[in-house]
Amino acid sequence: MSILEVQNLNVEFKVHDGIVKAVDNVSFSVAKGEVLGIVGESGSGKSQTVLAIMGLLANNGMINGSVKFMGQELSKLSYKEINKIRGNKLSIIFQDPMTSLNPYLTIKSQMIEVLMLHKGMSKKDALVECINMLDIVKISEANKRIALYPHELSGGMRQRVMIAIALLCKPELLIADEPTTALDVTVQAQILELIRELKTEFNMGVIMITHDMGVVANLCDRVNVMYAGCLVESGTINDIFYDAKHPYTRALLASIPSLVDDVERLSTIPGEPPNLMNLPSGCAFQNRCQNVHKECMAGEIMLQSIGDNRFAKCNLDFSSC
Amino acid sequence: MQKLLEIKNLKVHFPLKKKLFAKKQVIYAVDNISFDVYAGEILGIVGESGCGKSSLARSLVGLNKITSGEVLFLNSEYLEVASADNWHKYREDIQFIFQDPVASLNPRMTVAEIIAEPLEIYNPNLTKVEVMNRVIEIMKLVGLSVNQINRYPLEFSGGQCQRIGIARALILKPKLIICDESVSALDSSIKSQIINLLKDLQKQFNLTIIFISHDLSVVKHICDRVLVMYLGNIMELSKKNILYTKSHHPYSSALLSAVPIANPDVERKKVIKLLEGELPSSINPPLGCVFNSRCPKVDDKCRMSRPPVSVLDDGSLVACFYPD
Repeated sequence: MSILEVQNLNVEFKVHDGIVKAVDNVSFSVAKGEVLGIVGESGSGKSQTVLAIMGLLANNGMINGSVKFMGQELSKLSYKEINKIRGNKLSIIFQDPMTSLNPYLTIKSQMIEVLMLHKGMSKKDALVECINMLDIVKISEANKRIALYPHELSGGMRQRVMIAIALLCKPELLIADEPTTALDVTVQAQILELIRELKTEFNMGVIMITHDMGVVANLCDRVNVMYAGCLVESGTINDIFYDAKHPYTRALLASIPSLVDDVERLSTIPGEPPNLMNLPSGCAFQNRCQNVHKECMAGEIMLQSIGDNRFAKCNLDFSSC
Repeated sequence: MQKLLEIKNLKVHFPLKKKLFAKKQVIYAVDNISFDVYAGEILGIVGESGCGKSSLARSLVGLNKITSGEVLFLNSEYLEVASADNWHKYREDIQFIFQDPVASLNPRMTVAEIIAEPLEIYNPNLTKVEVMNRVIEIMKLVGLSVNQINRYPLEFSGGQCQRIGIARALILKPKLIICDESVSALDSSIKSQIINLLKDLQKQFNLTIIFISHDLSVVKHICDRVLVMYLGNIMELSKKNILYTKSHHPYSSALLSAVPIANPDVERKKVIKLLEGELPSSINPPLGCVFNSRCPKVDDKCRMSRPPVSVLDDGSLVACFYPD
């Protein structure tokens, strides 16, 4: 059963010299207990997609399309109504654990607030629950550490606190926006392990945004690949890693230096991602694509179904391969 | 092989601001490190954030003050006398490429001015035409188009800015280039372009590169030897194929096992040697071996005394009482 269903989501930003199309007609769904990875380079729209879902777009952002969370249409909700869902059934962890906690408040007051607001708990009960949650995310001496301020904790620890806050109300869907990018690999391994355990324990859906294909390989069940605001390929983890169809996905995977295999030269994707202010007509990847042909230059590229719950946004004929 | 750079007992300590009545505290950013860099090699330096890799690199070009120890560049000791004149002389041969490609370029200078500046400082006799010819030559070399020569850094993407940074570092034909996380800020499709460029340039000019990174896959791809640091100390210095197949130090193997591999089958079957806890503070490093608070092999000896850096049969340097 899918808990989140995104249909034809568009996000546009009005800036002083035009309109930036950050997310272009994206549709996907997340099922209970499933980890969906969203990968792409910076500016590909992966963060804006989830910010739009959460209703956290900047003031100049416009959202178009449908976001259904547990059957409820989120994009039409008022600020008050969506606040009842955010942090309760739908939670997010941000990339930077240093700046996403309030430096003026102790961990305790930042955590208790969530439970008092959403569950109407008393301060006393909430505190017990919070210490319990810090134990779950493996912060040792939780009853002492909960009284500390964010700056007294290390980066890995702060990210654990963020995860604990996100999980307090046992959300149905956890969105993790590059949760380990700012952390060291050793701490990243701990956090990924933690997310995996908690996912099973709470049976929640997870959207994992990352640019690191290694993190995707570690954690995800399904993968959405984004490029210049478009969803260019979607499939299971094995589809994407071992049988990628879209030229961008293939090129991206080939360009990553590997810890296992030795290559003399990395294969590269020539050129640079396009400017979202003036995208070329036709396919956004046309200037860098190896298989580009005349039809790619004009007209809309359709998302074609290339198997069981697998899609690619490309003009190439994949039926033969 | 010729030693280009010899680092002997290098210490970089940062004193913290003393509070009234409090004991004076010091951050031991780099603590007694010795190693050699050979001409023509790419030496990688890896470690978690806060392990002192950037402090080490910056002290090699005089951006940090050295507390004690010496650094010999082509046998002439240069850091004893870190006066402005001396730095001027050595910086012609040692150049730096920074992490943030945009922030490391002056936004008010054009590309031509940025790239030409070192050349004008070190060769004041060159005519304007000669300088421009060199700038154009180097821009072509790093893959910048010549008609962008009068643009400003803001008009370039991150990858192109890093190419400008590389051009600026190369124009004096230095012997040693220090890259401090030079590809970390770039997107994966751009990253591979810059890595290939650095590798090509290294071959073409027989450059020596010190390549600092936290990304072990990139280091594996680009480097000949790798130095693993932890809390300001050397843990292991091995040839690449030794480190990545049978590393000697328990910290190296833990670090390597934590790197996620972009291959689900391999990634999900591998055994991660998860390190418990966090990096200790470099104000109060543990007694004995600095890694003892997180090491799976720790015993009383490790808690009492610090293991010396010893040379193993295969030439690796390892600071451990029980190397693998």
